[in-house]
Amino acid sequence: MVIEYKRNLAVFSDVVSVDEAEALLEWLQKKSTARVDLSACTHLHPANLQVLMAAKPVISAWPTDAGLAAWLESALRA
Amino acid sequence: MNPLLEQFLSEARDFLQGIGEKLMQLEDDPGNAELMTELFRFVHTLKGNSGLFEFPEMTRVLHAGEDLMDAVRHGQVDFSKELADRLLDAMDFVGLLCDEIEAQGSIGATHAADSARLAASLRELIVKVESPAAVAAVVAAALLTTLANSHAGSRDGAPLPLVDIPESVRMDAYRRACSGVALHWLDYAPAEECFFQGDDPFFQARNTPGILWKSITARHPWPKLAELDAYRCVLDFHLLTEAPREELDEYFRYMPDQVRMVNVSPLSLALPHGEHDSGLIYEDFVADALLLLGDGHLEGLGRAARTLLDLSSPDLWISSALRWLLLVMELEPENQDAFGALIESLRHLVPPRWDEQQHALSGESLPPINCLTSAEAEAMTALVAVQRSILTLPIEANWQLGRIKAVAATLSGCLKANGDVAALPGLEAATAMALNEAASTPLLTWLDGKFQEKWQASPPPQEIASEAFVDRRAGVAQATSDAEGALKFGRRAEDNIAVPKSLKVDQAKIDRLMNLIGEMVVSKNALPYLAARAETVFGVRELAREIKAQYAVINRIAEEMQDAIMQVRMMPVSFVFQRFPRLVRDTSRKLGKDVNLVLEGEETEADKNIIESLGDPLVHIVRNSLDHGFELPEVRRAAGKPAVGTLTIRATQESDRVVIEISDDGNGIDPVVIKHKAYEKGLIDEAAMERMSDQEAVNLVFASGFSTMEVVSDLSGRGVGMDVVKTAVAKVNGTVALESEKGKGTRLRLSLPLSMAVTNVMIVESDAQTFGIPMDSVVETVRVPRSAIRTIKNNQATVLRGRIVPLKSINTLLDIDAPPKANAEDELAILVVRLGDEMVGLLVDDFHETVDIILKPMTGMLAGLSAYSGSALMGDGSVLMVLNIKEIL
Repeated sequence: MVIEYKRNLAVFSDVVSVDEAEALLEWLQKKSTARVDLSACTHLHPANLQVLMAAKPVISAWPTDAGLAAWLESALRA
Repeated sequence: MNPLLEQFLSEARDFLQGIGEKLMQLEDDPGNAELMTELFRFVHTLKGNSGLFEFPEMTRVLHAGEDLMDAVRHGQVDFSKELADRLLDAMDFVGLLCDEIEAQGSIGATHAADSARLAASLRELIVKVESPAAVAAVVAAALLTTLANSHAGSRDGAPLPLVDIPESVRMDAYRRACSGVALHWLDYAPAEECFFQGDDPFFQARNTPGILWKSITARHPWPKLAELDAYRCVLDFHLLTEAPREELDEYFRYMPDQVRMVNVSPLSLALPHGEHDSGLIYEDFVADALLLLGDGHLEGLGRAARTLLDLSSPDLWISSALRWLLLVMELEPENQDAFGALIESLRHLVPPRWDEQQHALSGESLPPINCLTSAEAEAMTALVAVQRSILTLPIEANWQLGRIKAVAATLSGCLKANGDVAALPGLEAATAMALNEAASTPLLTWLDGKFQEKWQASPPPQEIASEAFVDRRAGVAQATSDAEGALKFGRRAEDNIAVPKSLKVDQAKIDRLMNLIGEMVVSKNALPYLAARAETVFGVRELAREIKAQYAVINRIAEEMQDAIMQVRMMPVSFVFQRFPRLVRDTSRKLGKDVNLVLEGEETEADKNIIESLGDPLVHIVRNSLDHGFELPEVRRAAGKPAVGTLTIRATQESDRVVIEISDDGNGIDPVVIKHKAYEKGLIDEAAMERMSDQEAVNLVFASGFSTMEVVSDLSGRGVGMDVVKTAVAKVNGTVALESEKGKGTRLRLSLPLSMAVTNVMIVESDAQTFGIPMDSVVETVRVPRSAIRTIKNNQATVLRGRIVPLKSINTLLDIDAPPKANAEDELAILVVRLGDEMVGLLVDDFHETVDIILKPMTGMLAGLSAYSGSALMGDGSVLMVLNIKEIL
């Protein structure tokens, strides 16, 4: 699984494809206090990014990939 | 360049030619629906073809053209000269791209802007039917976008949100810019539906070359989660990059319409940013600093700034401004106006307006980004001239006031592009007045006043006719797309005469050439006879020798000529091979088998007829192999073979033959099964079945009506496959050989002549007649003493190298009532020929030389004579009949 859903935590890993966006959106709709762990993520499709930007979950860990982290921080750290 | 691309280019040129012609015809007869449909079809096909390759620039323009033609076809848009002009322009552009592809194999990304502009100008026409003035305005607007895109600084509409970039990053970027790197601000706004096209704009943005800073923003505030459509892209990407413009163009060549690139001048990065501290005004410092600056005492200024910086909290706006001041002083020590502006900014804590600053300083040594290149300036002059001529048109109806607006919009664009912001209010006032008075005079006056003095050096606008404008437009495109200036797609016919490298020739013409060279060979061959006659009949040996010498020359030329014509008819086997990848893929998928197709020697060439005759047999063979040969992946694995089977089709040239080998690593053919099947079907009797070798059994698959399959599938199994192959191959004088090993695979070898035009035959004599026998079937010629010939029952036979060779007299076969003649030593001439896998000896009277002949098939009444495969004219005027060995034996 590219996104592993634990109780309140979604753990992203590797490349998260466009197909994951739907499930992610559904999951985030259900959780009011969702957290997201991006540390193992190397790339995510912008559809997922949009969902994260709209849902504003707590980012518990930024990607270790510095380039990606800088991009995401510009979008998600508001 | 691959053959597909070559073909595309040659076709594209034909289409372009056709489109041009149709457009011309339509101009004379705009209502002709048939012409219109044909034109649409041309554009449509060309667009479709271009889509096969990675030529987004070309496809974009053609797509716009197609849409436009479609609208015209359906009567939504009227055909007009303007439309034809633009379409022709677009087609010239496509032609230019074709040239470039031909020369370099690809299209440079620099054409993206032109392509977008042309596509936009075509699409403009779909939207509305315009008055001529508005049309000009649209073209002008399109032009301006190009100008602005390529050259706009911060004057391009909204100022860049450079201040959002952290100061450290900006300072770093500034340092780089001062060291000569051009910086670009990039706004990338992907299309909303791009996810559905499989795009990943984030990936695209991430991999942009030379990123210094980046951010992502949402286009709209986010809706509630329940209403969010995750698959509608509403993200914008912003980048500051140090990559060169060409590289960025190349990188974003597929989406020029979604990307805004703005050249960032180094100083525009120097925006102080920070907390405004209350009350305290640095009036003293500003006054001191300006004084120091005025005195040219830069060292003192630096010292003062550093002292103040030490005293201030680093988060303050003033600290930021001082840091910038120090940095600018370090990197651009001559730019004192910049220091001044920075110092002045401390007064009100408002960042300096660098763009205005630069206009004021344009005469100085600042980077010349605000000046237009000469080509652009020229284009702008032309633009203004056109605006002027539009204004001189009388205004008769109210709606024509739109013209004034259009002109005003264009002019304001021109001013912005030229950095002449100060003149904008004047223009606006003049426009308002013109609209009020419903007359173009105020604007005209303003325009004359403004531009006459502005471009005195350039020719007065009145002299520039609108035709020149079109040409200059090409000039702008040139300047914006490529500084080398070698590119041009002006629509004047004499500008670009595309010289096609290949000719399309009707096959009948080649055939005629072929026949002519055939006759030439024949009449050339008459010369040796003439030489012989000169010597024997007229006794002039000298002349005979000269004729022979002359013959040698003619012979050489004729042979070369023949070879050259042959070459024209040659085609690579890839012509038939190219359909197999798809066939194999589809068929194997249908059958649930995994098959990997390997094609080799696709460039091997052979005569067109031969290549064409190969198509059907090969399809049969490949289908057979897929259907019967390959096992299902599980079976293969169980047998210890790789699950993916390999089908190899290899073409090679062996002397004067093309050999096509089709081998698979499938199941192979089980001779025992074949034998039984053949016996069941009554093709062989029991005795034959016992006697038959495995190889012979395998060859039974070629027998007519033979099929091993119990069930006729839709692929094969009707029992015609291999029989068809054999017949088709035999028709062009080819042979098929099949080898198979049970469990290991099957190999089919088709051997075909390179060309059918010339046949090498051996001439034999019997009962004072000469006959030709194709050399392909001749194995050897021997003379055997009459005593060595045995008669077994009614058949004669002899033993040659330990093999029994049955003998047939050619006279008997042809029903000539004469015994074979023996020579002085009582030896009989035997021509051993190959018949399938067997050897047969033909008893003839004598052997003659072998000759190359052009074999003409029997026609008319004689076509029914199957004993002869054709006839040929000999050099001495006699006719040689060529025997069809298979038929007479």
